Parts: sequence; structure tokens; C-alpha cells
Amino acid sequence: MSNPQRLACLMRLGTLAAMLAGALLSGAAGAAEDSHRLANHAAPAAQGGDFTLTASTGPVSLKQFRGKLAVLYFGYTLCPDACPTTLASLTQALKQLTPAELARVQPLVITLDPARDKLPQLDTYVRFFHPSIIGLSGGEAQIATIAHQYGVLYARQTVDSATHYVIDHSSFLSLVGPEGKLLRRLPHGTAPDDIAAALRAALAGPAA
Amino acid sequence: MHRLLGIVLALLAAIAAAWAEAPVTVAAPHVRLLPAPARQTSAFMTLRNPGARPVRLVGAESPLAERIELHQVIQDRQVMARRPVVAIPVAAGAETRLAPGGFQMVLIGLREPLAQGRHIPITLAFDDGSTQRIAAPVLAIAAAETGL
Repeated sequence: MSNPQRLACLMRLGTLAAMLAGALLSGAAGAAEDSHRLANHAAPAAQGGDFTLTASTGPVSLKQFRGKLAVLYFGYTLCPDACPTTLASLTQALKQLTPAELARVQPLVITLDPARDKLPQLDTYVRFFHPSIIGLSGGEAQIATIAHQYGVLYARQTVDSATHYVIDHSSFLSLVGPEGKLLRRLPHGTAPDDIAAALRAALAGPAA
Repeated sequence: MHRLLGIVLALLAAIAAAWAEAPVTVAAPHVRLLPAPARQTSAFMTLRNPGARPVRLVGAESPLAERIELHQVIQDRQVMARRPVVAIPVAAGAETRLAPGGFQMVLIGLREPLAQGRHIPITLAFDDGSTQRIAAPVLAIAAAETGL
């Protein structure tokens, strides 16, 4: 990374840290308010790109999946609505693929909550949905950088709940093509049939 | 004559009282099947209030969870947020759906892993002091969606 890029990256991390600090300090100041504040931030332009995180089997780099279609989801396990809803839809879509198609797809779930999502439990969680899904974790700063690369907004919110905090976050599936390029994003709520169609279209490649 | 009038009035009052305080009904409850490590999940249902006064669901408990909280999910563009709420309102003569993306009960600290088809006893508490026991089946997400 060149020096100007390093500086830009540090500034972005600084902004994100300030946002997170602001979110923590604001407390549970009105339900819709916080989410509007986060959603009002211009989501970082999703550039995609390579990264290395940790799976329960050891370090995993996105570029290991060159030649395949990687499907990324950023979420966390103490999330009983958005995350399981999206992972269930993705699972229904994966089940529509032929074995040959499925062999060319690699779903990855990256936790936004490394403090609570320990790898063995994260793995059990993702494999409950589909055995091909790999759960990834890492350091907070590392994950912040990668989430930023993929245009994911997220912020920890302290709430008056036995779970102490929730994480507001963008919820979409990111498709990364066989050459490692971010192809497209599928928004939260995309139906399984439409996810399957998008996976097939991405597998067919630009010539299709 | 007065006695007859008295009886009729008493009957009318009883009917009116029964109508006004008709209990909230709970339709299609279910608990979402999630993997064990989370020890947390959501319950969904439709609350129907046939009465003349608004009612609020103010709490719930189950022997299978350490606690149950009422939450609301708010989606703003692509950002999903979830917050605890003190109550879930059901307007007079109307219904409120607890569903993904909206209101839900969050079961925290599940005491046992969930299994598809198992019925979870939950006691609902309303602001009029009434309570209601339901048995909500555990359903996989896909099964729940096709049923709705």
C-alpha cells in the first residue's frame, strides 16, 4: 500500500472509530434515530479486494477461492432476525444448484462481533445453514477494514437488554467473481429463487 | 318491573364488559429454529385485539429461556437495527404482527437446544393485567415462511 493510500485508509478507520465511539456514547437514544444516523452515513464505496482472516482451520485468504464464486455475508450470531433470514435464503438458493455448480461457489460469513463470536461456535452456527459455509473472524480493526472494503456499514449499539449490545449493520450478500472482483450485491430480502439466478448468472461469467 | 329492568341492565352491562375486555387472541405463533451456540432466538405471532380498548403486550416468559425481551427491528435502507421496546401495542379492534423485520419476542439464554416441532410454552403478559399461555412450535425458517 502506498503512503497516500495508507493515509486514506487510516483516515477512514479513524472516521469509523469515531462513529463507533459516538454510537457507544449515545446509548439507547431512540430506536429509529441510531439506525437512521448510521444509514445516513454515505456507505463506503464497495471496492472489494483480497483479504486474509481466520477460520477454525487456520488463516484463509479470499484469493484462495480464485476460480470460484465467493459469496460474502457480514453478520453476527446474536442476531435472531436479519442474519438468519439472509443465511436461510442463501441456503435455499444453494440447494437449488447442481452439485457441479455448488462446487464452484464458496459462501463465507464474516463476523462483525469477534468479541463474542468465537470460531468454533461461529462454525457450528454457519454450518447449521449449509455445510459449505466457512465462518471467518479476526481482529476488530482487521474486520473494520474489510467491512469498509465491501461497503458494509456497522456500529455497536449499547441497549437495555440482557445481551448488552446489538450491532446495527448493512445486510446484503456480496458476490466476488472467479478473478477476485466484486461483481454485485444482493440486498436484504432477496428471495432464494433470485439469489440462485444471480449465482448462476455470475457462474456463467461475462460472456453469458 | 324494576327487577326486570335491573336484570336487563345487568345483562347488558355484562355483555358490554365482556366485549370490551375480550382477551387478545394469539394466532400462528412459532419460534425460529436457530443453531444451538447462539442460545437465543425469536418468536413470532399475530396478536388480535377484538376489544374496544387498546391493549399492550408488556412481557413474556418461558421456562425454556432465562428471559424474554420484546424487540423491534427497524430497517433503514440497507441498515438493519434492533432495539428493545417496553411494550408491543395492539389497537382496539385491530391486530399486530410479530414478524421478521418488525416486532418480535427475543428468547435469551435458552436452557436447552431447540428441535424442530417441539412446542415451547410461553406466558404472555398484557397491560390490563391479563396473561395468556401459548405453546409455540419450533420451525425452521424455510418451513415458517411457506406457512405464512
